[in-house]
Order: sequence, then C-alpha cells, then structure tokens
Amino acid sequence: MATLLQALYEGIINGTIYALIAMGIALVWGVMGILSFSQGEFLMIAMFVAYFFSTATGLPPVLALPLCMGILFVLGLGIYKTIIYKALQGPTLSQRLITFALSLVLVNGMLMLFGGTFKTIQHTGMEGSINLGPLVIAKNRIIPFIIAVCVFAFMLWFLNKTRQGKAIRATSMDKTAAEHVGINTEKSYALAFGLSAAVAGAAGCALSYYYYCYPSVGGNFQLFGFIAVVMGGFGSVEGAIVGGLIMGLVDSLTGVYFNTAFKYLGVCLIFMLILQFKPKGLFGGK
Amino acid sequence: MNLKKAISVVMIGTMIGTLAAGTATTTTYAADTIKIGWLAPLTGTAAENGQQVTWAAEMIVDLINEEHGDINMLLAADAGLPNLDGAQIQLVEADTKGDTTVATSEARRLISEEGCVALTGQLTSGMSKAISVITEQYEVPLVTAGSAVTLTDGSEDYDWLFRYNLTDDTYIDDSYKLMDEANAAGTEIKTVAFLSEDSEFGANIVTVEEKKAEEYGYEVVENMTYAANSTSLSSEVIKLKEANPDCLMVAGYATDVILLINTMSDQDWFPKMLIGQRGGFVTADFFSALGDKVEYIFSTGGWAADIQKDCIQSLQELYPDYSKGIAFNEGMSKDCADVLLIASCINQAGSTDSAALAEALKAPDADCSKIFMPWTSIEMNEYNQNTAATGVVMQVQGGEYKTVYPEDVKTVDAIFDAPTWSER
Amino acid sequence: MSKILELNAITKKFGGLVANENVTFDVEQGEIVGVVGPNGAGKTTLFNSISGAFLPTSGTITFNGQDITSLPAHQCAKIGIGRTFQIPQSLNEMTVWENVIVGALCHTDNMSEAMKKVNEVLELCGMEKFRDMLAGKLNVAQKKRLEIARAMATDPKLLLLDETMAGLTATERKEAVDLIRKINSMGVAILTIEHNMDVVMSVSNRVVVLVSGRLLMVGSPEEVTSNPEVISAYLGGGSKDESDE
Repeated sequence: MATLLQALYEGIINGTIYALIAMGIALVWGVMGILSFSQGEFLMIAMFVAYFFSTATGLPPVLALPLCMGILFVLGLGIYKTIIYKALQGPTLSQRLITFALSLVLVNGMLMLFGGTFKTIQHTGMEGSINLGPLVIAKNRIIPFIIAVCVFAFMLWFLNKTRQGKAIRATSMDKTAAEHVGINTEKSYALAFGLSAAVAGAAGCALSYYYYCYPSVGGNFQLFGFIAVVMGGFGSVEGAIVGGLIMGLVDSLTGVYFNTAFKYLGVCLIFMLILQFKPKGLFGGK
Repeated sequence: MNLKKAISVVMIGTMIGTLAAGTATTTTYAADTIKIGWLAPLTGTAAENGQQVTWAAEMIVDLINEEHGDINMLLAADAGLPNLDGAQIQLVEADTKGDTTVATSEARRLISEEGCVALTGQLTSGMSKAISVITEQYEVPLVTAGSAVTLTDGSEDYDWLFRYNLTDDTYIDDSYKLMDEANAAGTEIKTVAFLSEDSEFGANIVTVEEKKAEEYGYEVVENMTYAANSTSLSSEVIKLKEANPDCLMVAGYATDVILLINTMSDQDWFPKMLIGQRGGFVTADFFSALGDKVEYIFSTGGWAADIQKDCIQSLQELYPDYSKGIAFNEGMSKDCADVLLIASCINQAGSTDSAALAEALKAPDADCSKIFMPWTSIEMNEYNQNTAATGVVMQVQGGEYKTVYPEDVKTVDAIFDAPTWSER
Repeated sequence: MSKILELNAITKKFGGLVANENVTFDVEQGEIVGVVGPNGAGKTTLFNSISGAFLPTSGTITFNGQDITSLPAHQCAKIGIGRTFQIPQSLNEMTVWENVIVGALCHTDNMSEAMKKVNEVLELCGMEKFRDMLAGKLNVAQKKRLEIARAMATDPKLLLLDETMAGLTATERKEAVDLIRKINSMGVAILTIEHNMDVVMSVSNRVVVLVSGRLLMVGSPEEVTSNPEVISAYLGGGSKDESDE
C-alpha cells in the first residue's frame, strides 16, 4: 500500500512538469499550427536563470519564478517576432521545423556560454522530507508542485476569463473569424508564443529544485511533453495538463509494478491505447 | 539529355574519386611528429567530464614532449621520444558528441586523413566496440579503458584492441570481497541489488554481478536497468526501498548517478553499503553537484589519489593548471595512462609501423614505478588484456575518496554501515 | 445622406486570374444594398477586399470618409465593419455567449460591460435560449444567426452579409429577413450578397449586379430585374425556382 501511494504521488509530481511543457506545446500548436520543439530549451534556460539567481543571492529558487517567467516571456516574444513570424510566411514544412532548428541553436549557445557541467542548487531552503503516514514527501518537491498548480490555474483563468485569453482562443479556433471581430491575431500569436515560453520557464524554475541543470536537459522532458499533448488532444491546454499527469503516473506505475526497463514502453502502450479509442486525443482538438 | 548525362558522369566520378581518396591510408607525415588520435565527448551530456579527461591527456603529452627531469614518470625526463630522436607526440582530438555514429566516422578520419598511428580516448565500452570496427579494418591499435568484460574475453575477434586497465570481472570481485570484509567486521551484509544503465557498460556489468553473487553467496533481491538520462528515477528508488538490499551496486554515468542520489535523499532511503562502479561516481560533477550527499559512498577504481607513487603527486600538482582548478581523478587516470603507454610502446618499437607497434603493445617493456597507476607490472594475455592490473575500492570520507581496499594499499578503514539520511 | 462606403475602381487579381475588375459603387448611410450575380462573379472576393481580409490590387475603398483600402481586417472591424461568412465560421469550441462576447470585447476591456452587450445582442437575434450551447452543436440557421449576433456585438455601422438565406427553410428565411430589417432600423447599413431574388427584391433599397468580376449595373430592384442584359446574363437560369428547398 505504501508503495502504491508513493508511486502515485511521485507520478503526479513528475507529471506536473510534463504537463507544463505540454501546455506550451498545445498552446502554440492550437494558435498557430507550429510544433514547438524548443519548449525543452526554454525550460533549460529558466533552470539556468534559477540556478544563477539562487547561487548568487542564496535565496530559494521559487523567488526566481517571476524572473524566469518574465525573461522567458520576453524571449518568446522576441523569437516570435523575428523567427516564427517569418517562418509562418513560408512553406508548411519549414514552419513545422523552425523550432527544431531553434532548439539546436539554444542548446549549443548555452553550452558555449556556460559549459556543460551539471549544476544543481545546493541550498533550496527545503531540505529533508515529511512523513505523511506511509508517504514520504520530499520538501523540495512541494514547492515545484505548488508552482505547477499555480501556473495551471493562472493559464486556465487567463485563457478563459480574460479578454486577451479569449482572443487567443478565438484565434486558434478560426483566425479569419477572429480578425473580423476586431481581434489582432498577430498580437494573439505573439502573446501565445511568449506565454508558452513563460510556462516552460515556470517548469524550469520548478525543476531546478531537484534536477540537474545543463544545456541538453530539455530533450527528454520535451519528448514526454509531446506525447502528453497528443494524448490530451492537440491544441487543448486542459488536455495537455491531463496528458502530462497521465504520463507521470504511467511512468511511475510501470516502473514500480512492471519493470523499470519498460517505463517508456508502458508510456507508449498507453499512448497507443488512448489514440485507438480517441484518435483526436482525450479532449478532442484539431 | 546530353548535358544531364555529362553532369551525372561528373558527379559519379567525383564521388568515386572522394571515396578512393578517403580509403587510402596516408603514411606520409612530418618525420618528427607522431600523431595519436584522441576521441572523447566534447559536446553533449558527457561533455564536461570528456573535456576534463582531454585536458589530462594533453598534460601527459606535454610532459612527454618537454624535458621534465624532476618528474618521475615514463618519458618525462627527455624531450619527446628518445628512441626516435626526440620525435614529438601530437594528440589529435576528435569530438564523439557522445554518439557512436559520430565516433566511428571521426575514427576513420583520424586514421585515414590525419594519419594517426593509434587511437585512444575517453571511451565507454559501447564506444570502444563501435570504433573497433574501424581500427580492426585499418589495422591500427585501439587502446581503451572501457571496462566491459566482452572487450577482451575472446568472445569477439579483436586483433587490434588493447586494454591495460581492469575489466569488470576484477572490479566486481573487489566489490564482493569488500562485502565479505564488511561481514567479517560485524556489519551483516546478506542481500544485494543492482541498478544499471542500459547500454554496453551497464548491460555487461550486470551479467558479471549476477554470476559472482552466486559465487560469493549473496542473495540478489532486485535487479533493475534504466534508460540513461531519465527524467525521473523515482520508481526505481521506490522499488529499491521496498526490496531494501543491504548493499546496492550502481553502474551509471554522471547525470543519472546525481539524479539517483538526490532521489534517494528525497525518499529518505540509503542502503548499508552503496558501491558505485566508477562511471559517474568518479567524475568531478559527482562531488560538485551532490555536495555532502556523497559521503559514505564506495566506488571501485583503477586508481586512487592516495597511492604512494611520486609521479601521482606530480600530476595532482600540475593538472589544476590545465583544468582551471579541478582535481585529477580516477576517471581520467585510466584514459591518460593509455596515452602514456602508447607513446612508450612507440618508443619501444623504435618506429610507427603498425606491426612493430602492435608487438610492443602486446609486451610493453615499461617501468611500472614510473606509471601513475597502481600496477606493479604489465602482463598481456592472448586477448590483449593486462592481467596484472589491480584495482582498489575507495569510499568518500570527509568529502573525498579514500582507499579502503585492498588491505595492503588502503589508507583508512572502511565505514561499513552507512547512517540514514536523517542521522547525518 | 452621406455615403458610408465608397468603392472606387476596385480590382483584385490572383496572379493571372482577375476576380474583380474596376468595380465602383457606393452605399449610403442606413441603406440596404443587395449584391447579386452568378456564381464566380467575384462577390465574396469583393466582400473580402472591403472587410480587410484581402488587399485590393488597385482602387480605393473609403469608409465614412476614411481610406481603408489597406486597413487589415481587425482594424476594419474596429472602425465599424461587421461581416458574416457564406459558410458560417463559428468558434465551435466556445458556447454561444462566449462567441458573442468575443465580438463584444472588440470595443471594451470590461467584462461586465461586454456581458451586457452580449445579452442585448442575444435578445436582438433571438438566441438567448441557446446561450450556453456549444456553437459546434447548432444547426445551420442557428449558426448563421450566431454569426450575425457576433458581428452585431462589435457595434458595426456597416454589416456585410454573405448569402445569409442559403440553406434556410421558408420560415427561417422569414425570420432572417425580419432580423435584417430590425438591424437596419437601428441605423446599420447593410450590404448583402444574395441569390434569392424574392429576398433581394423585398429587402434592398438598391441592387448591385456583378458578372465575371465586373459591375454590370446598379439600380433599384425593379430596374435591375427588368434589365435585359441582367436577365440574359443571370436571371435566365430561373433563380426563382432555385430558392426553395
């Protein structure tokens, strides 16, 4: 029983990070039809920001959250206005691949600037663990979880209850219709891209509590994020959140109850099963 | 139609020409420079360690090329190789990017375009196998410190692969013998578990670990493999916690080892003995990323900083100049020892001719007191393995590795029953 | 009465294909102008140029005295041009009220103000009972009314309606015509592309005839329907029969 509880708990905690990445991918895909291969790299840059902030000030990384999200938001906007905007005017294939090229540039750029050492934050201000009955809750996983949940709540609120959020959703459903009711779809595109980067930035800040930071760290998380997005239904931000959590759970449960060597196999099987019954993903979509 | 044909003929001709040029081995190079090819991951996830080991290799080459009468290491006293009129060694570096496909093509380039007379580097067992395809084809020696048993057990047909460092057979023997010592000292160690990464290194070491568990009489309670660079090792630790082995043997590279120890700390579990099988355990990142969480962890090793040979002290003093402060460690010792041995054998052969070099590599006539490894002699068997290589087991005490095994080399006693996380 | 819309020599080419050529006509404030012509005459293309979805190849468009030739669609919407589409483009994953509020937010940031507008517009278009329904689940007639509602939420001064009657039953048509009249009585000028000649006759103040991208004539409904050129070019196909299901 203790094992099951721990496995479920770990699954959800890990799942929140996948969900954050997935949200960014879903948003960008939904709004502009671009596959964002660079979410992992945005996460990585934020990890570096959190690492440097925490090491320089000695303060817990969570205080770097506004910095992480802010920097990544601005970076996302900048990248949209310079690279993505141009790509959208070109052939579909280059649109689909532009973020892949971007991710390579970011990884190698960071490698040049900061080297490949694995950096971990030594003092997050959250050491040790709490025992909640049979469950061992590591303190340095609590804050990341709270960060993730806050970001989920913020994004869902923003997209559904605010004017800009509705504009973004309208743009993703029908760009022409949106334009004809006064929505500046260019602005929606830029905002969506910036937000997706910021969300990955939050993931990076959260992850810096317990994972090591180095230029190629984004890769594996990116992969899980993609699968989560397809499971949840491309374009659906809610679906991405659910998809991410499912990924985390499947990863954890397969590892504990079957064989750790088959973790990824388990993930892929569940993925295929979901697509069998719901080809458009759990929450429908495009 | 005619133009099209002409163009295709030219293109095909060019391709054939390039192929031909590529496969011709160049044997002409400056008479006083001898090139040794060095392959290491200089970019990618293992880059940091790869770079550090490369600096160590560069240091050894500098010591060979320059006159260092004060350093008691092979070939240090004279400038260059004395038997070849002071010929200088040039280390030709290539980035494997941690990818076997890239490594293979780089190996080919080092031999056919650069004219390297031998290859070595910071190579995992998997890399070594991939590169050996090239070195066997071109009949150029490859010297590796990758520890998989299969590299020199005759199961594969390698004529040109040489290993002076230990195989996992010896490392695992040492591990179990250490566990025996623990029992003798009063700490009950009955059960063992294995956690290994899933490439050549991990896959091979598990076979050895399982086989010897039976020989030495230990019960295997959990045997897990995991994919390198995992996003999470939570489920692995959950299972380990459940199985609660007395001793855990881990084979993995730096990234995963760091994640593992952190996850174990998060889930508040640590076995009585944790024996790392080199890999990530002997990198600088292991210490810098984990801080004091590394205390009490064991690792097998082919080298230790506290072995009493003066060239070891000299290297430890010199290396930080090459590495901007990082200390010389076990991980790099083995690989740069290979560079030294190759140079020494070229000197011994008196030429760079492959056959002569291979003969020297099979029977090096080197004074082991001037080599910075713990070996007292080098004896190569028919599979080009040094059977006289000995290893040690170290334990982190006070923030650095101290040799705790074998009895005749150890500098401190091992602490067998590690305290739990909360007790520290 | 001043003109709300002036088209001057509008030409639109797609590569070698000339979709509109030299189209010139006006719309007065508060007028209802019907746009008729055979399929492929360039009617929707003309709408696209007016609404800002397309940039005309040459010519000028003036809206309330302002040159809007190169103004993009979202800004045209903001200055008072509303538009519906031949095949309704509803925001299918949003509910009816959410579709409309997207329009209402065109002129205000304030959610409660926007909600008030939504309620007004839903009442105007008779869509209150559908307010919480997912737009994707509506039938064709309802979707068309939703489009009108959404456009009305942007407070347009000119409403471009593209084949509103297509696919509607006789009753639905009557309801649509009533809605158009009601909207017009609020002071909104209407430009409507229509195949159904009964509707065009009864609703329009004037009619514009487009054939093969060019303006054939502009006149009152009676003038247009009795013009021999128009009859041969267009009405010869017996459109009166086409209009019933």
